[in-house]
Amino acid sequence: MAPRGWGCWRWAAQPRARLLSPAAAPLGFRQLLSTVELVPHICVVGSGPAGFYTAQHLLKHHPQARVDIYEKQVVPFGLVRFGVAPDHPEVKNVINTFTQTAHSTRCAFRGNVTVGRDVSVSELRDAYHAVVLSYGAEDHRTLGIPGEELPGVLSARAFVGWYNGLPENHKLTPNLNCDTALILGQGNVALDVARILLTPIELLEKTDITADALRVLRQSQVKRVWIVGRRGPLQVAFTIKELREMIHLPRSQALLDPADFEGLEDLIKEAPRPRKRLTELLVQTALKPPKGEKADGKAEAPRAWGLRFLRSPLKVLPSPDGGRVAGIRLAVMKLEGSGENAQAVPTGAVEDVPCGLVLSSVGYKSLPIDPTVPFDPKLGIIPNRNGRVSGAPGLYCSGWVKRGPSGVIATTMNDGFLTGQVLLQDLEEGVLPIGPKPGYSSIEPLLKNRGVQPVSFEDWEKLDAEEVAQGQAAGKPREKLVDPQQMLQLIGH
Amino acid sequence: MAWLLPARLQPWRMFSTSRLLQDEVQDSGPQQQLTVNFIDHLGKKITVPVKEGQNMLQLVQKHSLNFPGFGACKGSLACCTCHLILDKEVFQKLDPVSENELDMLDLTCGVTATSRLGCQLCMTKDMDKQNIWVPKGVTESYTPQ
Repeated sequence: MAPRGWGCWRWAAQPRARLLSPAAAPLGFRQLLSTVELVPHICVVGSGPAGFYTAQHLLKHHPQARVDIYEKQVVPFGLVRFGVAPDHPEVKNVINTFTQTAHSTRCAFRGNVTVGRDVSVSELRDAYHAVVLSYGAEDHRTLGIPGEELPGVLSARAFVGWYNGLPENHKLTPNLNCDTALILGQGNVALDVARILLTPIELLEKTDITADALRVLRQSQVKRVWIVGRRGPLQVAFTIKELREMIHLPRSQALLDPADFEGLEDLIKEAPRPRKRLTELLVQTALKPPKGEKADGKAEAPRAWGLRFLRSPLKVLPSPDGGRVAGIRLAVMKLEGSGENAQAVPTGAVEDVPCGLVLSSVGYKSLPIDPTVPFDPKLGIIPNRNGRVSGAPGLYCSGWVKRGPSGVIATTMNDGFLTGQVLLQDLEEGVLPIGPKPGYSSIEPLLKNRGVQPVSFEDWEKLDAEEVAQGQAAGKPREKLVDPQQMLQLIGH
Repeated sequence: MAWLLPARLQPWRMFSTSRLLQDEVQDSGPQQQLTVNFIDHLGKKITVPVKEGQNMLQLVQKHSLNFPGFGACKGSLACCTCHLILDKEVFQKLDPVSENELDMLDLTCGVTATSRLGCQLCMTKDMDKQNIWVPKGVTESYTPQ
């Protein structure tokens, strides 16, 4: 292990300073220290929006801070690359600002390093003045019902990962040889999945969706997608832009039961504008005749999507041979209470819906990264106050692992800035260790000894160029590389 | 005098759906020097010269005003980070906001009745010498629970 400590580092302070802890240093002395040029070395774990926006804030507001961003994937950007739908390329424009941050001389991207396996959080805390955990939510909430393990039951997270080229989902190859798919959950991820299942293939061909997904979707037989929620129309979690996209899906019609929307317009009169507009659009759509009923007849809209409310999954029903999904048993619910806090309670009635594919989209979930880092399994977050990890000075968190897995990029952006602010505050107030720290120079030999080959941002840019070049041939913005071994070979590892 | 501008620069034609960031306003014809005051997230006032028809996001970028995270999606109506708040009287004199802009505003932290997105807002005479607030990002945004 590289020598820790004071000796060889850029620090021109009085020798006395090394022997005093911040707590013991009298105020005047701390003022002296503040005029000394300390280079804070900060480590950020995760290179999605949380990681990059936290890094951005730190670099912008501290003229000397050096930030290393660790990432377990070979490539950066987290859910911006692996979560945002292929037909939403403008949302991915944030990559430009992240690239600018990565290009800062004080910032270094270290990909292909799994914190918690290749290097421990304790080792990072020894090497850096502060460590920020921004590793998001890599798992999904399970349904906890019988039959969940049957072939044909997938998490939406895995499905999204598959069509977006996340290496761990590469082999998912969902079976789309069925007429009806049923999605549990009514958030934006559920709508993304429904939209990708129903979008005419020629429109997907020009996006950065993976070649493998295109091949499978081209042969898809799925004609109808149900999007099922436990509660009612006033509790849907998706947002209006995504709903509009469903309504305007070419060659698809919306199947909404007007009965589900009776009396709603009165209930939302005092609701905040976003909920009001969303509900008004739902009601309007439900009361319009189906798209197919025009002069051209129903053939115009061969595919359909619909929303079903007040249904909670009880059991996945297997095919006669027990080999795969044939349907799902849903409990009929009723609402107690109203508005955002309404609760669904079973009525005792059940309903069976035949389907060949069940996608659960009931939320992402964070996992603990390292035994030394506190984790709340119930809330699925790292216990913290404003981003300071409870009971762990020098350890911070930002993004979904801090607040829970919901919100758009802008939400996470604000959160990244907040954690950055809190960290810099602590630095200024002497809460963090004031001595010099080795930063990456002590982690590098550790990784080398363990056979880990970190990927730099420059390496990513080579892969990026390769993806764009391959995409050009196919008329796509990029053809994503999905095999980490191939990617490492391409950059000479 | 805005009607004298080429069609694509006329303010009322700019509030179309899903519009991308437009090009720099050209120096065409006699235009008086207008100004606008950005009140940044720290309460600091920054007065900036601006031509009629100038896009607000572009204006912020032109003068490197560096509001945190501003314009993340580069003006493609795919985020809400260029959120600006206008004075009520000024807001009411502007053209109605498009559905698409309202959709994104609905996601915005601390959205108000006089909020606009900078990438969809262009300079008008009514905005001359007026204040435009750049809200401080807050942790609560509208995400349906």
